[in-house]
Amino acid sequence: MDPKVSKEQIIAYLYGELPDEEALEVASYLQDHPQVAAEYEAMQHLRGSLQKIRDIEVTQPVIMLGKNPRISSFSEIFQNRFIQKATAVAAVIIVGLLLAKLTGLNLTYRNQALTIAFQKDEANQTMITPNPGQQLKNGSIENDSAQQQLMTKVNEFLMRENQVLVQRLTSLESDFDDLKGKTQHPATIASAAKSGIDQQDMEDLARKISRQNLQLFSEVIKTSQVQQEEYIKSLFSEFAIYLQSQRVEDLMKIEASLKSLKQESDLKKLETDQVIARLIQTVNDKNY
Amino acid sequence: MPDRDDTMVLVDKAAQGDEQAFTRLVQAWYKRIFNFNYKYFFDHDLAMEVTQKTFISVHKNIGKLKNKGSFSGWLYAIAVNYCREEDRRSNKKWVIPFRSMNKKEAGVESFDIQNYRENAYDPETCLQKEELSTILLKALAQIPAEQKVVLIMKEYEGLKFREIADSLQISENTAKSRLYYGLKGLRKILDHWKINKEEIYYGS
Repeated sequence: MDPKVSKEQIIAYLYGELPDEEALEVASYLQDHPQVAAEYEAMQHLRGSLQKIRDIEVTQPVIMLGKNPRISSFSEIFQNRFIQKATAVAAVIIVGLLLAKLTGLNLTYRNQALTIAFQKDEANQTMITPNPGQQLKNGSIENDSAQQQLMTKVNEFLMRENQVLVQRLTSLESDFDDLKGKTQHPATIASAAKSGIDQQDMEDLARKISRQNLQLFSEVIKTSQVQQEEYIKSLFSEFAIYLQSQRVEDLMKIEASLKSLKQESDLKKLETDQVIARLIQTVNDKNY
Repeated sequence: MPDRDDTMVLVDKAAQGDEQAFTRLVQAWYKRIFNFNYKYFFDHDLAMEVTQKTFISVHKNIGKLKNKGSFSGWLYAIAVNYCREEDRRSNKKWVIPFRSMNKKEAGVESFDIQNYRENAYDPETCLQKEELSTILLKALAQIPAEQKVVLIMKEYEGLKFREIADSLQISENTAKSRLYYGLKGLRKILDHWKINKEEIYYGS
């Protein structure tokens, strides 16, 4: 091709996308070069023939759209900077609280001093137990005199509780001694013998129960065996029916395939005959 | 080709999450993209599959499209990518027609690929049996993919060379050059099949 007109220009000219000035140049070039003009003409013909390929109609499938994740309301809210910061702060606080709970962190402000401990302050706990709500309300925990009062109250309370416990223990011990005396009494042993339940009776009863259980168990097994047999029989019969239907279906498919094969081979035979006939005719024509 | 302004409005709405607009967009472009894919593969099922993949991708990424005016180029670029992906996948498959198998030696099945290529297409019989458009589509399927894409985009989708170049991320001259060689290649194939221009021109 002449360096003056490139193949890109020819193509642009073919599709009418060349500026007027360049189009004129290409047109005159084609007039001067019949070989390139023939090529151009062939391309034009080809373009004409390509237009014979028509679009085919297509059924558009039903569109089932899910929610677009990019524009979901949740995502939009979360994209807000302030919300993101607030969530981060909340997350840090939650993690901090969780860690404090796990490590047993104990923060106490007493006597203008902040105490940080990683175990529970047992003494403090005991102090607060009698009436912590009221004491916290009055702010009396920080007061030394109030503390002393509280300590005496707690001691009194503990003493009282101790006395009650000792009394209960004593009464339980006496009850236990009474019970022991009663069971060892000869009259109690005699009443048990009078009720008529001896070891022999117990053994008989156990044997009877085990026999009944055995009988029941064998009945259950028999019943389940019968049921299983019935189920297997029905399964086999169903399987036989299924096999039969499959066989019939397969036979039908084979028959259809054979039929189509026959049709195809007939068609091929016909085509071969036509080609041979055409060949013979061509040879005959040439002979004449 | 769907109206450019309508498309822009629909794209804008669809990008903001309007699903009705997206449905209308699909309705407007489905046939175009399907036919593009059909001409590329000359296979209805494959074209259908690739078209669906294309629109699924559009639905996922339409929010990311910055220039709404370039929707058509963007859409064709997605379709072309899926076509290439499918090409790569199908190149790995070996599908051999049953009747092409012959036993050269006892117990050994072999496949004569040269013989298969020569006999796979009998133009004379085909010309009698099939429509001319089918022959052209078969010829189109034979040219290299990069030339075929440009040819379909230009000839059937009516895109400008600038749009084709933008869509495929190539220069305008490359697009023109590919089209030139594509047409030339197509011509050669038809000549090889002994289908001359009169047959093509007055064929159907």
